[in-house]
Amino acid sequence: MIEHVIAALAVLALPAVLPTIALVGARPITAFMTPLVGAVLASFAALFEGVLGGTLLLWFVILAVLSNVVAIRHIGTDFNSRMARVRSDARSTPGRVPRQILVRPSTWSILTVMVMAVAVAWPMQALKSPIIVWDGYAIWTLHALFIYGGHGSFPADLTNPVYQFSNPSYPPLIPAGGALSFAAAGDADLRLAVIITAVLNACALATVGCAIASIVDNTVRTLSRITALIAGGCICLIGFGLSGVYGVGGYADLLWAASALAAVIIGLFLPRRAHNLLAAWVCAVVAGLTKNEGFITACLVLALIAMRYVPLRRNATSSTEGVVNAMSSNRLDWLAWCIRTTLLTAAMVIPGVFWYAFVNFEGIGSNFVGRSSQSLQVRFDATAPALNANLHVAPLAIGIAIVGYVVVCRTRRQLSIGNDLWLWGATAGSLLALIVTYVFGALEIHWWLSTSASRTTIFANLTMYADIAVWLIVAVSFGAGGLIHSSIESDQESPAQPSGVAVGESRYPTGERKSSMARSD
Amino acid sequence: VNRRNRWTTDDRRRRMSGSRHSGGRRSEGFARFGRAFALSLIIAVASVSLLAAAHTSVKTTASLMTRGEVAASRSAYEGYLCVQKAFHRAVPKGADVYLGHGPPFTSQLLAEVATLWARPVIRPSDARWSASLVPSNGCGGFDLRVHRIS
Repeated sequence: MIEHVIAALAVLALPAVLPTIALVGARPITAFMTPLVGAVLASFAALFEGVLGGTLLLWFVILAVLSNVVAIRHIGTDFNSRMARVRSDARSTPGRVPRQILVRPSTWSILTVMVMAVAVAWPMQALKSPIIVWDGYAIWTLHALFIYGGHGSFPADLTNPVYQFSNPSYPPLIPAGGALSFAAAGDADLRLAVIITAVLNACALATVGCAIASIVDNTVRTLSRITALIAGGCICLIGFGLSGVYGVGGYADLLWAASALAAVIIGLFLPRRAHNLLAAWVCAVVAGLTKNEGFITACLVLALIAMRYVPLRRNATSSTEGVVNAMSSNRLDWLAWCIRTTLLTAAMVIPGVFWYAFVNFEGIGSNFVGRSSQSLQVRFDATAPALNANLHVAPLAIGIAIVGYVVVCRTRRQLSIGNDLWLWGATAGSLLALIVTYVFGALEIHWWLSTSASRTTIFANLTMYADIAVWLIVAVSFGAGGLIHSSIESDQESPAQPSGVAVGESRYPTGERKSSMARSD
Repeated sequence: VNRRNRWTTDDRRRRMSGSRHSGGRRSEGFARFGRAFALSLIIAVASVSLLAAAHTSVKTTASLMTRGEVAASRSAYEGYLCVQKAFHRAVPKGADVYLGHGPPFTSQLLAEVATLWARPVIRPSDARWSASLVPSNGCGGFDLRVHRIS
């Protein structure tokens, strides 16, 4: 079995190495995002198999070749521009130490990867036994078999009423990963698909852990960095703890929850940079292609990211600065901002929309949509307490967030961490979407809640634990003002900056930042 | 260094100013104490909650690796494989098969094992074969019954 797992992971991850580096850069999260990008490629290969014909492997090879060609071109251009800068530096200041052409991983980067790998490795021990839980058989490995069967099987089985129990409208990322592992092993072994799903869960959680560890990248205080590493590792473990057997039993809930959280941390907390925007986008795409509720949450998170990244005025350096100047802005500025934000959101949700267009085109039904015999009042009365009972960490997280906001808000700003309200907005929006789904859905509500509420709230719980971790890191970094690097210089060196995207710590105009560095909390 | 210098300046001011500013100093000291207390509270509560949750996760994983859990998982998986093997032996490849007889769970299990082997159909009239599972001491607690619909 182990050789099949290694072969499957190699087929999934190796073709995605260069595209991942081109998208998110070479940093700790790249190591864990690579299999996720491979799974995104596999899900698009499945989509092409369903729409155009052929097999998953054929389309995967085509997509892998194309994406690698584009990635190599991008990395080559980046390398050439670095070389040109090194040459110009050498000409203008002959005595100066030359810039690095190839970025060497720092000790902290290596340590981050190792800590997260160890943290997610412990729960994976459970995979020694063949754990496949209910939906693992009934949905995810079943859909993997549909995809593995090729064009003749995939759309026909999804539309077969006999398989209606398997929620055929669920997106294809996990089944495509499983089907690719079948193709790599040459045998449809369900255990293999479940192991690949668990590995993807682990990678998504490790991405969250790396993102949390990187929020203190601009400080030299060792205590802050160690705290961030431990907090990131704890979040990796907590993700598996919240999911229980579902985290390793072939379910998709942990993958979408962790990916959406990674998008929140990278896109809404880390500094506004092109690589962070792209990394957050990839994470949101993974969440959207994993499960229906993941798609809704991903759309919401991407809308928030677009709001954060798009400046109110074209010449404004950041959206925050734009909001500060909102009083002096006219309606046209606001209208243009709304249009640009909507366009950026729409552009980012396109990969997920492809799947639902396919579902609509094939006439694939959903178990959840329809009319229920229960009244909306009955459904709501059952839903609210059931969700509330699963959000056990909410009071603690809210309390810490309020105290943190009052006491260490300035330290948070000095660390260049985005506003906490972004995270709470994403959490509240996700819960609202869940409530609407449960209340207006077709299934018997009590049975539905009893079988799913503990899983659908993983995102909200994990997000709140991540918020606690971030406030802990901020609190430990209190008084580190003089030890925080100015990241403005490094932002200017950032190789890729999309047009219209505000860059770096422009929220703090240079003068303000300098003065805040001199001050202490 | 900044902090030390500032504190030194504060101390100097404190020595130079008399009791005129004692109220301000008291409130400043109170604010500093409150901030330190709140910081300690955040660090303590957040650390304990994160470590406790991580510990719960470790225990959850350990509980999945107990002898009973491993045996249960193995038994369920072997039961599934046994039903699948029996189905593949009994039903010809590519056959249209009706799986509707028996409890709903069993027809779902049969639909899963039939995937990529036979074509499950929703109406008996469309099928050439019929398959069902009946409780017994066979595979996973069931026996597979298959018959040809003439």
